[in-house]
Amino acid sequence: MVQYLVRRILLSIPTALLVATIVFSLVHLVPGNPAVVILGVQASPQDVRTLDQQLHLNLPLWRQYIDWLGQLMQGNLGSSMIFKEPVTALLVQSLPRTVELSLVALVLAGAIGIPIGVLAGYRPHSIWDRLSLGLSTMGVVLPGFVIALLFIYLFTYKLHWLAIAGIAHTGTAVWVNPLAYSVPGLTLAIGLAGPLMRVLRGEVMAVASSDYTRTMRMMGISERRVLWKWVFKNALIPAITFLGTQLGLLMGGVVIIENIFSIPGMGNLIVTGIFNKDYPVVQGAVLAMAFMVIVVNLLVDAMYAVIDPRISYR
Amino acid sequence: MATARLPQSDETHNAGYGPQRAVRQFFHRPMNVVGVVLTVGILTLGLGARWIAPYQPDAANFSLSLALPSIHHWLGTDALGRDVLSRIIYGTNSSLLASFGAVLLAFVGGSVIGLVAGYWHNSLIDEILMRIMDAILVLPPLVLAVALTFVLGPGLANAVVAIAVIFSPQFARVVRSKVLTVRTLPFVEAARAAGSGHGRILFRHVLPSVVQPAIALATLNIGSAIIVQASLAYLGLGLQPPNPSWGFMVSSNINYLSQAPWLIFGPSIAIALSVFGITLVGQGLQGQ
Amino acid sequence: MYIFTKNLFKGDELTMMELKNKVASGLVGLFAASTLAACGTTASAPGPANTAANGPAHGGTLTIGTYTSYETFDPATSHTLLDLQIMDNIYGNLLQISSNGNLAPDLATHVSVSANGLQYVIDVRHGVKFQDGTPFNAAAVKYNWERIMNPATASVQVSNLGPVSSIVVNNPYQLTVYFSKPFAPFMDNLAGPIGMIASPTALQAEGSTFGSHPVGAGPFKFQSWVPNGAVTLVRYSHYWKSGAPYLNKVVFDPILSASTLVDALDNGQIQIADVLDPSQISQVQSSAAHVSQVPGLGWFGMNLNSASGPLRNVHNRRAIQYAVDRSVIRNIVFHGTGTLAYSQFSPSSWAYSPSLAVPFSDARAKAELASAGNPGGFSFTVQAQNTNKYILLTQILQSELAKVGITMHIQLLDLSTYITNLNSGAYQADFINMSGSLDPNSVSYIFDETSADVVKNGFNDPTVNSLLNAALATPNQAQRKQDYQTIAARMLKDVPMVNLINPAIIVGVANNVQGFINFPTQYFYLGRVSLTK
Repeated sequence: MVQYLVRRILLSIPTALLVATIVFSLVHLVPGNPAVVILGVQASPQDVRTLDQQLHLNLPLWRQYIDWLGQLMQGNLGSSMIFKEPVTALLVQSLPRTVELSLVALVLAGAIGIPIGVLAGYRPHSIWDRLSLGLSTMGVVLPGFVIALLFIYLFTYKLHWLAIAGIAHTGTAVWVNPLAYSVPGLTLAIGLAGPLMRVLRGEVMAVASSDYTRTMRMMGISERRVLWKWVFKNALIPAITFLGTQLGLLMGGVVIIENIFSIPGMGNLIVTGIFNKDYPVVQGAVLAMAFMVIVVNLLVDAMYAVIDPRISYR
Repeated sequence: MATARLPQSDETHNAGYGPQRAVRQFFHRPMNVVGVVLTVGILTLGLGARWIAPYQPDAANFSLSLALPSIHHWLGTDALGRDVLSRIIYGTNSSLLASFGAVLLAFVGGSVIGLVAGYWHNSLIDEILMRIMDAILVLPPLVLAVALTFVLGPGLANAVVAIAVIFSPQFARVVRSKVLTVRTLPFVEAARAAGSGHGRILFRHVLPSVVQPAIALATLNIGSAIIVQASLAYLGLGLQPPNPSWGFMVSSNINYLSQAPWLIFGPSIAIALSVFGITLVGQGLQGQ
Repeated sequence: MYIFTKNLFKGDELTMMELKNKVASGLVGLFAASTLAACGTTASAPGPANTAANGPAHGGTLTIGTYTSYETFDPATSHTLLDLQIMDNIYGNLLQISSNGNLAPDLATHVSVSANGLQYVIDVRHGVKFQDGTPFNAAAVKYNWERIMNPATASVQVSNLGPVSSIVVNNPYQLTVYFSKPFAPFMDNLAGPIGMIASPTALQAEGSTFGSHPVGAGPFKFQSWVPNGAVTLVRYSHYWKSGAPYLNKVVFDPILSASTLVDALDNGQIQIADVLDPSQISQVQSSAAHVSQVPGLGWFGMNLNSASGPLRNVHNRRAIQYAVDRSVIRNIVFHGTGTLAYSQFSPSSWAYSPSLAVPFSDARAKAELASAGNPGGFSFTVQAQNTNKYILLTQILQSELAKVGITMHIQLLDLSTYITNLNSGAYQADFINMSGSLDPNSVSYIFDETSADVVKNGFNDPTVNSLLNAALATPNQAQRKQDYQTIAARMLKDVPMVNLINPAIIVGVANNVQGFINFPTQYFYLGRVSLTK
């Protein structure tokens, strides 16, 4: 078991290194010069050259790569060229927003997906089944930005329910202004809840038709008890591990959702970074996201290994 | 990128025997019929746009800016007074072209990588190729697509390449794992014993038996590709005005969400219907 | 609503020489997107009209929703308008513009100029402390300016400081600035970015990260900043102006979606929407807020590169000029705001000439195409930034020009490539949006090929060059006005660019905000703003 995990961790090191290299080359292939963005239209070519030197942009690319990698090994992600702040400081400020948004999305996805999914699996072809079918179809066929705009239109312009404007000014953390996270979280949750319901439905159907369940029923245990104490419990673990595997997808969705709702998280950091050619920020932020995905994948694998003894640890 | 998979109301399905039987079985399922009807309808709209659309997509009429839906303009007009319905119909082309093109490219590229990696299993080349695929899979797909499209510059073709890159690891993995099982089968061993070259074995013997799962994956990925392309267009990437594109129509009219929602929801429905239809067909083909 | 009148800057509020001949230099700005460059002057000073009967109420948090996010708050290196709006409140200014448009003392109490225009003596206010407790004095001003002049700083403000040869501190509260040649804009610029003085102690302590830890002597202290998110300022209790500021806290909050911005204003989540997209004016609910519109001082137009290709031919350029219906652009892109532009001078500028105009005429456009030798038209490519506004605008132009046979291809670019091309001349046509300051030079200097060379568009008219220089040197406003109008007329004929619109500055203001002035320069100083309970 421990051996298996160590092996998995060792295996992810070359992947991480490769990710770093891909991100570096990608970002540096972006056309344009950050010095031009920093200085604006009125700068003279001399100013641009001076700044190039200060930012070490005049060095050959391989030198910049070696320098960056060397710094990375020491845990130093460099400084933003536009914001002139250390990238780690920017990440410390942006990451919580993205994590909070993702957690809100996961919780909402669970709150929507688990009961409907369980009921849909327990009573196939019922209204719950149809609801789960409809919701998950919606999550598959509609892009996140469309769902977001639909919610904004509905909640803000039609129902005048929620003030959706930004998380930014209200002190930002989720516990300070949970309302501000509700619509963006719900948008992401729709995409997650759909597949979650279908996974749960399948699991519940399998458990419900098992001999053990049938035995419990025959013993006269109440339906409610059978459903929630036995069927639900057994279907839950695969559902949670499934959610873990969706993290990469969630991180992608975050990019657009943060953009629409002006949330100052990782997605916005990356997109504005790309547009501004703020190399260190994009490199650092994408790496951080990739790192999170790698870690969660590892955890999910480990969980599988713990839960399902059929998986070999070799 | 995760493959779009629609939920299904029922799971029972029997594999057919002959092609005729398979076709009959395919159309026996009502959802498959719906998928085919939608897909054919969308393809017809796209290919026949110039005959079907009531107006030219870029025919501006500045005096008719933001007109409400009416007899003349079923879905109203945009800020330039262009007919929204016509733009949606013409927009079909860029969406379908981009998604089919990207998936085809990912299919070819990913399959070649998978073939090579699987055939020279456990070699250095296998290790290198698959590590690269892993690295791509670890990066959030949309983030990668945004960065790639930005690197490659504006234009639909560049968006196609970017989408293909994020989809190719899936094909590489599926094909590779299939190759791993096929390469040890007797007929491949026989070919090798008969002195066939690597190229011949790969393309004559291995390829035909691994291509089927890749095709099934491809049909399922077209729907996701439409969504990724729309998302890129929404962020203003990979487009070229005045050519209409659904995602771009949504993003460029976002300021009118409260005043003229049809500008946003018209193209959104087009996206939803085409993803729905094409994914249903893909699932039907996969025999689910 | 506050509107600038044409008797701006008569200069009778300060007893100093040559005050009425001020020239401000401006920067080329880009339309929308993140890099709106700003210029020259600061709007500020308490206005009696805006204080309530019992004096402004103290306390409260004012939240300003903005259309873009912030980069850095170092006055030497920042150049975006939004950053300057915030910095104005952190640093204050050496001079400020009062509510009637005159220059007024702020951190500088007196400025005098020698007769030859080569020496400026500046007296600074006594007893002022930076927000870190260190004294504000003449040495601090010198330190800031020498930092700007140091090439290692790569400061964008060098051009606003002008040809300074040396700075001498006469005593703790007075300094003399020596110029190698006369530089009339200097006085006006003291109310701009170079008038924002940072604490030398903090500059030394923070080094390269000063931009995110700014310390000034203005009414509000920097508290926090979230990248791509809000900037929070808090009341500086030892601000030199007793009583001011009235607000406890000011939050600048980027809300990038135009419709969300209005929604936030209507919901009371923000008190000022800076700036409102013209498409959203109709969405402001009168029960919650009102729209403040001021004619801006900037201009917006299509810049034509006459260095090569079909646009070398002046007739082809004129054909474009005639074929463009500016009112369509005003109605659709600007939703009926702003004014049609035929020169770089807006109706708010004293250099504006109402008689200067060309008709919209496809017939004339076709006649010009015939004179050019290509009666069937020609084709060219326009470069534009990849934002909704430019996409809308270029599509309108494309369809307008197509009517006379001119094919315009659209090339969308990211900001950096766009600026690089603009500076190097690697374009056939593109767009320039300048946010002007009060002096006409701020929107004209880029056309002087003998000095500023930021816009390489092949336009090089010796008459325009010399008139621009003459207008900078002469103190006579009537003469200057004549010079600028001659320049504008020559440019309208030669068409180095097709001026389209002088945009309005549109700000949404909640009804409980008191003392806010919407200046054409787009700066805002919140030291005088209060909230009614």
